[in-house]
Amino acid sequence: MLFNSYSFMLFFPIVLCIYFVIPKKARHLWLLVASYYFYMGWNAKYAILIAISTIVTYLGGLCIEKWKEKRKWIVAGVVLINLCILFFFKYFDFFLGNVNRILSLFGANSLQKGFDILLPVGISFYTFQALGYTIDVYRGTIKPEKNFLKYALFVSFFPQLVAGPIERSGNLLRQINRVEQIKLWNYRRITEGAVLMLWGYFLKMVIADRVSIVVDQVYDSYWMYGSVEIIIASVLFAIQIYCDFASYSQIAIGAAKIMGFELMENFNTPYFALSIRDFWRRWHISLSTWLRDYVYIPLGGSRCSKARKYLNLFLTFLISGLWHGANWTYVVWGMIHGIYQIVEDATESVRQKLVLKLHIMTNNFSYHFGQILVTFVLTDFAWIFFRANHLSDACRMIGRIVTKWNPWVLFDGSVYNLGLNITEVHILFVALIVLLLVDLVRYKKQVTLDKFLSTQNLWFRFAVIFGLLFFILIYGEYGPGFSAKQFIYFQF
Amino acid sequence: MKKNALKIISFFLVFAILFSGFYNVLQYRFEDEDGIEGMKQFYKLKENSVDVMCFGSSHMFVDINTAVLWDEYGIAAYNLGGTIQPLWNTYFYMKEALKTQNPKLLVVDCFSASLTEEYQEESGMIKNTFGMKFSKNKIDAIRVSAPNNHLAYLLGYPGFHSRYSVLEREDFVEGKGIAHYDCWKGQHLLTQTNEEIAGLRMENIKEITDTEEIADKQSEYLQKIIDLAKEENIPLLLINTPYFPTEREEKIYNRVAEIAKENDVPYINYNLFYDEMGLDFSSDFADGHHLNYKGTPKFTRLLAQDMKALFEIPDHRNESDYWDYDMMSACYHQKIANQELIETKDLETYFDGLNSENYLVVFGLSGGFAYADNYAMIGNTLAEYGIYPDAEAGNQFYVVNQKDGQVIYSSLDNTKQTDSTSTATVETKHPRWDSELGSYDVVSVRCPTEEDYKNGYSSVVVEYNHRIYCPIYEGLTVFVYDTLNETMVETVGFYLENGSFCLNKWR
Repeated sequence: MLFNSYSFMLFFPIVLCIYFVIPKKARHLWLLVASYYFYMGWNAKYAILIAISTIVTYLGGLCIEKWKEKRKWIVAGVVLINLCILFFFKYFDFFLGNVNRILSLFGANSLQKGFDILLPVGISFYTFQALGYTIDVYRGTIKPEKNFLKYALFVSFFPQLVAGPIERSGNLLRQINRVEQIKLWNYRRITEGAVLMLWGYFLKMVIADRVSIVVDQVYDSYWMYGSVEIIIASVLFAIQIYCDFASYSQIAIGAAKIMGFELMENFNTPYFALSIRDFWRRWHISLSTWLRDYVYIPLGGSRCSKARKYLNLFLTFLISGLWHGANWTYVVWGMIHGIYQIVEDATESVRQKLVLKLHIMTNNFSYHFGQILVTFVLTDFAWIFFRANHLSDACRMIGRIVTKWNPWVLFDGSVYNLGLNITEVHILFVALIVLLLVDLVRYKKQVTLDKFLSTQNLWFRFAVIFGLLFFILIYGEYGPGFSAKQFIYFQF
Repeated sequence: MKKNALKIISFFLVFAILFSGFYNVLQYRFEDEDGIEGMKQFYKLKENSVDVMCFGSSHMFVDINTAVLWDEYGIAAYNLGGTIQPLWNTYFYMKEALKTQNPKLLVVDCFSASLTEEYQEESGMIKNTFGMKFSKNKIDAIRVSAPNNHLAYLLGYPGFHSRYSVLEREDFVEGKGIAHYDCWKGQHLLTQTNEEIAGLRMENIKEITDTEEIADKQSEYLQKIIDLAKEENIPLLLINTPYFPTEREEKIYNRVAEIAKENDVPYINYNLFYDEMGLDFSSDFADGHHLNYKGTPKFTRLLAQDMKALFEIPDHRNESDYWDYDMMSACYHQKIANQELIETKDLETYFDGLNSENYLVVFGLSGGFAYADNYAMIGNTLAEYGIYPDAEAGNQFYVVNQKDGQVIYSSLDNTKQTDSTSTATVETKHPRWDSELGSYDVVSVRCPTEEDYKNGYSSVVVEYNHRIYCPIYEGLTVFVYDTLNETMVETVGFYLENGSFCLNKWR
C-alpha cells in the first residue's frame, strides 16, 4: 500500500495502537505480521519472493558461522541466488530485448518467452538489505541472527521495505533485538516522528505530485516544446525526484521513529552539494554507502592505481544506474555520474591551480554558490537521461535545448499551459520557498526539521505544523479523480 | 504528562476548528437545483413542518411550484431531489427526510424509472449524496451509487479540497449570500423559454399502451420506496411531470402504472394531460424536460387539485408558524416580476413595471436628453416621482426608493463641475443607500469621471459588485435593484438616436 493511500491512513494507526498495547515480547511478531500485510497490499504473491530471500540469507548467515572455512562459497551462493532472483524479475525482459536486438542485426529469429514477469515492488531495496547482512556476517562485522522472526522483520520492516533507506544490519537488526526495551510512550520522540511524516507528505503531495504534471507533459511529448520548456521541465524533474524520494524516506523514518526505531538518514540537502562527490554523500545516502562498502571497496576502492580507481568508480556507478532500472537510460545516467566523478578527481589539481592563478577567493558565498550551481546543472543534465522514456528521447531533448531557443514563452503566458495554471504555479512557488527554508535550516544548522521544531516555542511549532498540515489538506494532490501517483523509487 | 496531554488536546481542538472552517468553505456548492443545497436546507426545517414531501430528479424540483401550492392551496410542500436522481437515491433521501418530517403525503417523480445505468457518473453521485449528513443512509446511498472510492465520497473532503481555485463569494457567506435562502422550499425556477421545443410533442402519446421492463436496480428501489411509504403509513403518490418523453420512456411509465396498481398506489402520468393543464408548448417549456416559470403554475394547479381530491392535506395559510412559506412566496413572485420586467422591451410598459415596492431604481440622464422630440413621456413619468431634470446640467442621476416612491438621492445636489473645459463632474457626496442593499452587495452610481471617459464611458456609470454597466452614450439609463431578493434586476439604457429616444431598451 502507498503511504499516501487511504489504506495506509487506516493501516498505520491500527498497527500503532496494537503495537503500543500488546505485550513487549509480541512486538516483533506483530510488526512482522504488519510488514507482510503491508507488502501483500500490492500483490500477495510478492510475499513468497521476500520470504525466499529472507530464508536464503538467514540460513546463509547460520551456515557461514557453522562452516567458517567454506564461508566464501556460502556467501557466493547466497549472493548468487539473490542476484538471480533480482535478475530474473527485474532484468530478464531487458536482457532478452537486448539479445533480440543483437540477433536481429544478424537476421536471426528473436527469442520469445512464454510468460509475463511482474516486477515485485521494492525488490532491489530488500535484496540489497539482505545481501548487506550476509556480507556483514561473512566479514564478521556482526553475528548471525538466530531468531528467524526477528531476522524476517529486519528484511521486511514495513516503513522502509519498498523504498528504503536500505538499512544496515548493524543498525536495524540491533534495534529489533532490543524492541522489548523500547520505551514507547515518549512524547518528544512520537511528535518528532509525526513531524517527519508530515514533512514527507508535504514533499510528496504538494510538491512532487504537482511538479510531475509539468514534467510528464513535457517529457511525454517533448517534440512539442522548445528549449525553455525542456529546461523548466528538467529543473522541475530534479525537484520532483528529490521531493518524491526524500518524502518516502521522511515518512519511513518518521513512522519508524514513532515506533521507537531510528532509521538512517537518506538525504541531506543534496542540491546544496558543492561537487558531484559531495552530491553522492547527500543523495540516497543509504544506497551510496552500501555501494561504497559492498562494491567499490571490494573492487579495490581508491587504494590502488589511478586507472584502477577510476575503473572502480565507473563500475560502481554503472551498477548504481543498473540498480535503478532495467533500461539504458538508467545505465547511461549511472555512467554519466561515473564520468563526472572521474573528471572531477582527475582535474582537481588543475582546478586548484587555476583558482590560485586567477586569485579567486574560495571562502565566500559567491564561490560556494557557483559550486552549488555548477553541481546542480551537472546533476540535472544527468537527470534528463534518468527521466526520458528512451535514450534517443534524451538525446533529442538535449538537441532541442540547444537548437530551439524560445525565451518568449516566459513572457507570453505559454508557461502556464504546461499543466499548471497561474494559481497552481503560485502554490508551487510558495511550497518551494518552504522547501528552501527547511533545507537551509538543515544545511546551515545541521538539524532536521523535527529536531529544529523541538527546540522552538509552542506557538511556532503549532504554526509550522498547522501550516504544513493544511497546506497538504488543501493544496495536496489527492482525492477522487486523482489516482495516487506511485512513489518513483518503488520501481527500483 | 499533564502538560503533554494539554498540548495534544489543544492541538486537536485547534485542528478541529480550522478544519471545519476550511471544510465549510471548500465544500461543493452547486446551483440550488442540485441535491446538495436542497438537502442542506431541508435539515434546517422545523420538525414536522412539511405536509407534502416531493422527491425525484430535476423534473420534480423544477416543475412542482411550491409557491403556487402555498398561495392557492395552502399546501406546505418541500422539493427534495437532485439532478437525474436515480430511484435508489430517492429512496435514501426519503428515508433521511422521514427522520424529521411526518408528512401527509409523499410525492415521487418516476422519470428515473427510465434510467438504465448501474451506477451514477461522479458529478451525479456527488450531487445526490454530498448534501446528506453523515448517517447510515448516506453510507448506503454512496455504496449503491458508486462502484468504488466509497471512503473518499463518504469523507467528501478529498473530493472537494481542490476547489480552492474556484472559490467565490458564495463559498464564504451563509446561505451562499442569497436573501431569505432559509425560506426556500427546494423549487428551482427556470426563466428561459424554448419556443422551438413545441415540435417535439408526441401527438399519439395516449395511444402507447405497451410496457417495457424497468432496469432491475431502479425497479428494486421503486418497490422499496413503495414499501417504505407503507411501513411508515404515509400515503404515496407516484407521478411523471409533463415533458417530451420518448416512446420507450412512455412504455416504462406504463410499467410503472402497472406496478403502482399492483401495490395499490396512485400513479398519474401528466404527459397524458397536456390539454387539461392548458400547456402552451411554445411558451411554457424551458427545455425538453422542464417547464419554465410560465408552465409550472399550470402543471402545479392540476397536481394540487389531484392531491386535494385523493388525500387529506391541510391548508396552513394565515398561520403564523408558516411565515417562511409566505416569505418564499413573496420572493418567488418578485423573481417572476423581475423576469417580466427583463422581458419588457417597450419603454412605456417598462415604466409601469418599475412600480414594485421592492425596487430601488436609478434614473440616469445624459447628453441632450431634454431635447429629444419624445422626451415628454419620460419627463412626465419622472415628474411623478418629483424628478425635474436640468436640461443644461448634462449627466445627472436620481435614486428612487419604490417602497415610498421617494427620491433618496439626486446627483444635481451633490456634484460639481471639475473645471470649465471638462465634461466630467465629481460627486461631493455618494448615495447613502447601504441599508437598502443586500449585505454582500456594493453599488456605486456616478456621473462619469475623467477615468471613465478615458475608458469610453460617457453617460451615467453603474458599478455593481465591481462590474461596470454603462450601456449607452447618451439618453436614459435605468438601474433596477430588487431589495427583497437582494440582487440587481438589470441595468439598461434607452439611447438617443436622431434626436429621439429609442423606445426599445439596450443592454
